[in-house]
Amino acid sequence: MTHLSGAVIISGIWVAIAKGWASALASVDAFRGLDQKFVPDYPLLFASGVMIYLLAVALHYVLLSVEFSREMEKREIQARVLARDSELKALKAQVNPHFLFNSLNSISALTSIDAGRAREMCILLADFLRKTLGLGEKTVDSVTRGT
Amino acid sequence: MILLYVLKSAGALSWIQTLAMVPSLCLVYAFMCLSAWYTCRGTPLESSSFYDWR
Repeated sequence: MTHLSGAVIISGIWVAIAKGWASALASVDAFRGLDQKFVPDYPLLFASGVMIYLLAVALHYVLLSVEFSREMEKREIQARVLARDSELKALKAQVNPHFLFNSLNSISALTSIDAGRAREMCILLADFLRKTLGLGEKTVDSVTRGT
Repeated sequence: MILLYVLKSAGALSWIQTLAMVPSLCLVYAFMCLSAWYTCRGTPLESSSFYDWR
């Protein structure tokens, strides 16, 4: 109902503009009498205006639906990225303490047997942890960029 | 084009007169139809009775 009344109002304005334009053109010699000749066409122009306006309304609804679906898709991807990020963080939080516990126990045992190798193991462990942290950050970064 | 043909065949206008009237009117109406965007945003399809026709 809103669109129908909008169509009627807009078409009415359009017909008024057409009337004004026809009167303006009628002042030129080449188009003399145009305003009188154009009078029978007003109902046709009005009907065309209503139909074109309703077509424009349908087109706008399609555009709004496309916009809405794109927005929803974007939100879904963002939610998926956040879920993956949280999953990764949870896994890291689970794995790291257990791994560290085992490694530190092994190093502790090795110090009494071979201090040099224990030192080497400490360095390797530190190196591994550094690389693991870097890899985790890269994964999250690439997932975020993928959106 | 359709409007051009319809106005030419329905009225008493010549081709030159129709060509002088229709393109300019269509140009004006193209901008006027953009106002439908605001009414469409104001009354989304979800709020209409057509949405639950199933």
